Amino acid sequence: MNTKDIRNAMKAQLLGGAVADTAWPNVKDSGTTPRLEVEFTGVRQEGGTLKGNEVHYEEGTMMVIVAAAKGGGTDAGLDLAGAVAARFPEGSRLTITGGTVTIMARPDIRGGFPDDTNYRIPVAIRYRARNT
Amino acid sequence: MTRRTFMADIDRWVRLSERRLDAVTKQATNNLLRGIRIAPGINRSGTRQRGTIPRDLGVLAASLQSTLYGSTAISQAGQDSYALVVGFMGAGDRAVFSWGGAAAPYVKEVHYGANGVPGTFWIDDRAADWPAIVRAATAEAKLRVRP
Repeated sequence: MNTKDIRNAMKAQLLGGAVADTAWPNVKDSGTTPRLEVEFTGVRQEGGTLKGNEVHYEEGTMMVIVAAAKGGGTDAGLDLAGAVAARFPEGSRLTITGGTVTIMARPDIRGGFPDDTNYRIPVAIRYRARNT
Repeated sequence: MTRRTFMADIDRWVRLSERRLDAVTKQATNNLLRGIRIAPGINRSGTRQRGTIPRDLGVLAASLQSTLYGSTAISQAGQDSYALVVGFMGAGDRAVFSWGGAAAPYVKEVHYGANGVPGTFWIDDRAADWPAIVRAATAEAKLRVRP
């Protein structure tokens, strides 16, 4: 398995809910509201083989930021954050080429905050991938 | 006679284990917080670097609030405030370290990103190192804390 496979599996799982317009890493967001912005953070890997692109083990967090309309209360944003979290139940597994991705904990819906144009709610999804 | 020796061994083992647990708690917490990097922010000709606290508006790094709930209860503010808390920490204590507050209410915007500027996620990034930090502190305590 490799990093691309792991991230694509997580993205596909998120997209399966078709919850909103989504901005992936290194893709400019559409500016529409509501939308999701995805970042991968705290990623730690182990190789375990001499093949440079092979990942034996990876652990990290997919951070999904829900960008909801500003000034409209928090319900719509929290509903969307809940829909995102529901896509990743604790213990669920995603099968990828040469490995498995496991959701390690219940997704953590964190406190929201406003920026200039949106109300933003982070959802942290912890995962661990192992090769098989 | 044998029984007394056995009990003394148990007592010594318990005391040693407690000292090692305290040492791991202090060392791991200290290494976790000391290892958070502070980088020049956008206003200081830098960029937003993943895993760092940007020194941009000035007070974000210094807004660290370190609080210990446990055998000793103390709270301290400042960039190095964790040092005092670590000094009083023991195994089983609960400590909270947070940034922001009234001094830097923009902390979430910097951490998670906002207004098209990416977040630096230094808390989540550093938390990912916790298992490795504890493993290293445990190995160190085994060497340093001896009967």
